[in-house]
Amino acid sequence: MTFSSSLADDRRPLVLDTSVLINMHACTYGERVLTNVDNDIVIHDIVARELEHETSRKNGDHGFLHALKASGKVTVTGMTSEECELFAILSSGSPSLDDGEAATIAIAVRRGFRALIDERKGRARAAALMDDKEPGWSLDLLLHPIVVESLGAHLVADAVYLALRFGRMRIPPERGDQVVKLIGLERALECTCLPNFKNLAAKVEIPTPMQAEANVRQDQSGTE
Amino acid sequence: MSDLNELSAQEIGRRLRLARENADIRQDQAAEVIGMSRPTLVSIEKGMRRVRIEELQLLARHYGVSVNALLRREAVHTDLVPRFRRMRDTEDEHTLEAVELLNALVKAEIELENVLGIERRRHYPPEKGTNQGDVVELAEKQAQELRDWLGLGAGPIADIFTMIELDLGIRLYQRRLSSKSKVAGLFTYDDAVGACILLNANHPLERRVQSAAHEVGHFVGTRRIPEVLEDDEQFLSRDERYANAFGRAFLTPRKSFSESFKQLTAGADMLTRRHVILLAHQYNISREACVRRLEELELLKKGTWEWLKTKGGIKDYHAREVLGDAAERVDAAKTDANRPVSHRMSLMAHAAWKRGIMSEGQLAELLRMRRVEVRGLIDKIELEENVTDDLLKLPR
Repeated sequence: MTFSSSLADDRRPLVLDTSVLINMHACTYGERVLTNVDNDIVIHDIVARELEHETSRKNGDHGFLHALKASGKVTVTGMTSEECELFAILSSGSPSLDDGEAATIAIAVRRGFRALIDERKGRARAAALMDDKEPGWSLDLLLHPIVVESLGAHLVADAVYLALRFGRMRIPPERGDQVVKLIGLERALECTCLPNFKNLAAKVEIPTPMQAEANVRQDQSGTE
Repeated sequence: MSDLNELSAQEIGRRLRLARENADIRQDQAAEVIGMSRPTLVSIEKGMRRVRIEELQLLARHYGVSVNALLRREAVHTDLVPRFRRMRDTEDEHTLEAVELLNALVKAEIELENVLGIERRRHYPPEKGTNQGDVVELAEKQAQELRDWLGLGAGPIADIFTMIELDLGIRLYQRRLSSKSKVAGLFTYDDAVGACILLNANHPLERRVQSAAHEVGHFVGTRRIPEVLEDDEQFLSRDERYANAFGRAFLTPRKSFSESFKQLTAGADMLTRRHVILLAHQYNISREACVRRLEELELLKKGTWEWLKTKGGIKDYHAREVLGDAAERVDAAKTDANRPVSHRMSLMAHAAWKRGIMSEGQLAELLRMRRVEVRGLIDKIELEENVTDDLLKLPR
């Protein structure tokens, strides 16, 4: 299995959006993934708070980012006034972005860092501002050669599966087949967020959730 | 300094004031957050001094909203929460919960409708007022006038919820409040947002029908006063007595309800449970409401319901014996209330995401959901879409 990552030869510091951190958190290996990547990693304070809001304090999920901050791998940053200006434009313009995406893009653009965003609206806006140089994906982090070398192909496949299954990670549509090969068809069929899920389900004649519900109802009425 | 040119300083100031009032924060406290004096904050809120983006970030954080929610042109800002707060003498956590929920629903629905170009038709009768004469007689008269205005005829109302939403164009939400909440319903109105009703979906269908009719009474009688309907209200104002009487008269008009009762009991010497069950079922009301209305119309003696209660009341199994499967009414609104967001809101959220108008982060804040939940909501609808067949294209 070959892995490809648009971050492989990119040494720039990475700015992570909330849409990416959610997946790092969901994949359970996020701390190891981010620790292994060579690039410096920064996130804006707003993104850190958005992740806190997203994850639960009760079950210890909350500690995910704290450990990375404590180890110095992740730097939580503020914005300079120049970055604030761009942030204001992005969060007030039309179409506008949410605070996390606007801060991530503002920092990436002004500091020349690489933005990592999975959300499509944020990606489109970031690409337009960065001379059409696309931001990276969560998938690029998980399939980074250094991560693969460190975790091994098996754990990487697990991480991708978990991010898809529990974080509903967004991936580029053209890499759908590659991801299915990586995690295996059986597990792919549990990941309804996959862009090619409908085709997969049709191929193996697995019902979509709506068809499954209809089948259950039909079975129940048949047994009455 | 960045100029936030998309919106005027007055509009940003207004939004900041509403966000502060929603968060129940005083001006001096807010001023302290940005290291300014209270007069400076006042001038920001009045639009006389343009807020800096750094200040806006601090204030947004303190108010518990995003900068984007304050600056996004399409965002809707209401004063529902402070308006209810002013109305109540004491802070009541259940009322606040209901008001905040209604506020969130209204904001989300209007913004999604606006960005998707959906126009909601209002079909409001004029406000009648409740000050003249006997309040019960007035309510009966005005309930009948509304029935006539809507062309409802004399009989039972099959679906009051649809009537409220489609015939009147009132925003109606049925969502679950916390299990201990005594709030049965909320009503509010303002010119920008229109009339809005929230019903507690924990309550049984018949109860919500009555609450809905009660709130329609407020809409007809005194719509500019926000209202909270609670269980077992002890001290009833004139407006409350009006709304109660209106609700009863609207659902069970004196003439037709009396006629239905006479038809059912024709030839009988005694009232039976069966009579009550059948009549309540016919008018989509609770058995208790049915008996109490008959008492009010002097078709039964006062105290009948209390007497029935001492004899074991009229239970659901009695109703099942009489009505069979028809006793189990379909309660689509309650099922919908079990979802994190309603079907309609889900569909609008998906459409806004699909068209690239709103991101998952914006939707998460607007719908008060976690992002992964928003992703789930979007994915579920995406999977159901059949994109290839032209036959399914909707006319625009």
